[in-house]
Amino acid sequence: MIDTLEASRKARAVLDEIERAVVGKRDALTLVLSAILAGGHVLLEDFPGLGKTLAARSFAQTLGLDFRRAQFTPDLLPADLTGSFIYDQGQGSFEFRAGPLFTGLLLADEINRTPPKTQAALLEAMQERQVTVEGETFRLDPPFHVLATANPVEYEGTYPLPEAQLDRFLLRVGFGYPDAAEEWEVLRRRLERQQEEQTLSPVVTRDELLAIQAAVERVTVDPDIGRYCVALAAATRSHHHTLVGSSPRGGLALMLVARGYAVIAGRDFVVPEDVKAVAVPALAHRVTIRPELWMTEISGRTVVETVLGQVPAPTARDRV
Amino acid sequence: MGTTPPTPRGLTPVALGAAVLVLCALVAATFDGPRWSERDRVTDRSSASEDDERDQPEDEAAAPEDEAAAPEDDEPWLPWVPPADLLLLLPVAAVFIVALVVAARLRVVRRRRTLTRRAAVRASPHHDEPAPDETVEDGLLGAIDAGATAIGEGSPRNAIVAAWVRLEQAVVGDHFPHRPEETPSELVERAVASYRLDVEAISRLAALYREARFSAHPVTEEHRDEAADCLRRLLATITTTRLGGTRAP
Repeated sequence: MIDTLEASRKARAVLDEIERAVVGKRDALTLVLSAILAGGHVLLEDFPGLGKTLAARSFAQTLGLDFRRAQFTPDLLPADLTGSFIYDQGQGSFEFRAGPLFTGLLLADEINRTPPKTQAALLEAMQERQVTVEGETFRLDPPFHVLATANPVEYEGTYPLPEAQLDRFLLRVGFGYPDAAEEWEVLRRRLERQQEEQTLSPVVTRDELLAIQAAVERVTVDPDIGRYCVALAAATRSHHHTLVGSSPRGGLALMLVARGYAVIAGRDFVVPEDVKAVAVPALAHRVTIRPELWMTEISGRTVVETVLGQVPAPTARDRV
Repeated sequence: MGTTPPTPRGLTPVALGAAVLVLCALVAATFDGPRWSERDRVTDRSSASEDDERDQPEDEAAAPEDEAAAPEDDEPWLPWVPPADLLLLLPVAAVFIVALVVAARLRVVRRRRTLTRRAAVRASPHHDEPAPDETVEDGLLGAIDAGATAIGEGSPRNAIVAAWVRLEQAVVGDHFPHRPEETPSELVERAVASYRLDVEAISRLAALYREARFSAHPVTEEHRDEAADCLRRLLATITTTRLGGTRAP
């Protein structure tokens, strides 16, 4: 068992190591790590070439996890992910050949390019942390995390994830374009490296990651903070731009990720600032905007930002 | 953020004023109505009398009297004075014009203030709040002083939370509105922009408050001492800057 300070030190070391490969995205990386420490899965949604795959691979390397990458194509079948029974002629019996789901960290690349049937198979495994093939159930050993990527601009030949499936991702994070200095730093490091491959050192082992996740479970969440998470999720439901607001799972996600965020900050308690920091990536993808506003700049993000500016934060007066 | 259609706020007072004027005109028309009706009635009556002349010659004596009386009723009493309904309209129109001028003036002032604020935002990182006045800072000084005195009372956890509550209540005022959605960090950021405060001390005090308020682990005498030190530094900074007249870094 490790304490919060040690967990925080290791988490920061992981981020420092990843920043050797992914330049200038500390905030986004902190959010992704918070979700992993909270035991969840992350959807990385951004334009091509912004380092989503690199980030996923970097997390796998530094967290000491087995890494598999599945390229989601239109002809991908559920069995290609879960694995299937193959007849062994020598033994005269069927044996199970595990698919890429049986790993520590799975990169589901371009998840919206595969049909809903295959998406559902992955998302079921993410939720249940087990896979059933031919009536036989196989458990996915912890830690099991999925980092899925999606491209938000290309809609031709894609199958956008329905809201119910988006809800299963603890966070949706975008990296955004780097500024000029950061972009040059990417180029400079490539020149310095003299090779395409970027290899990072493992910072923690699989067992240490489990210990950090256990430390996150011990983080104190004041009842007022919990009520604040509930109020934020509920406020997205009553917002006038919203068709369907966040489910209660959104409020739960908010609290869980806030705990991971608190541990990275070196605290064994959650403060309102943690909740606000993770609110947009934790809630925005769970909000469906009214159809008449689709062509405007209004989005799940703007709804959550508005709600953050309206819902009263827990104060000292609640206690005194 | 949003794409809420712009509301023609500037047109609202004009439309209202126009509506008031139309209403006044209608009222004036109503005042005029009975007179016109009377005149019509008299005219009708006179034409009827003419008919009667033919039919009933015995009423001849009465008819000329009526005809003579009708023009006398239409004559204004004081011909050079405008009609009463027009006199009624004049103050209403005057009030409307004054209201329009005041609204336009307010709009210009508000616009100028917005532009000034935007310019200040671009020019300075500490942009949100105007400079505090002496009376507000007196209240803040008093609250910090009271907090520093009372910090030794009760459990360290409660003492730190109480000190923060005092500080929070003292900074909130006319030029520093209470924002319920604000976290302690956001309050600190705003307070630092608005008051002459030791940034490090108030940030540390906010961190101690968060720990006392939201954690379950023990809050010790060391935390209390640290909070007391922060309050003393805040007190010293405000006193010094008020004497020197400069903002703390």
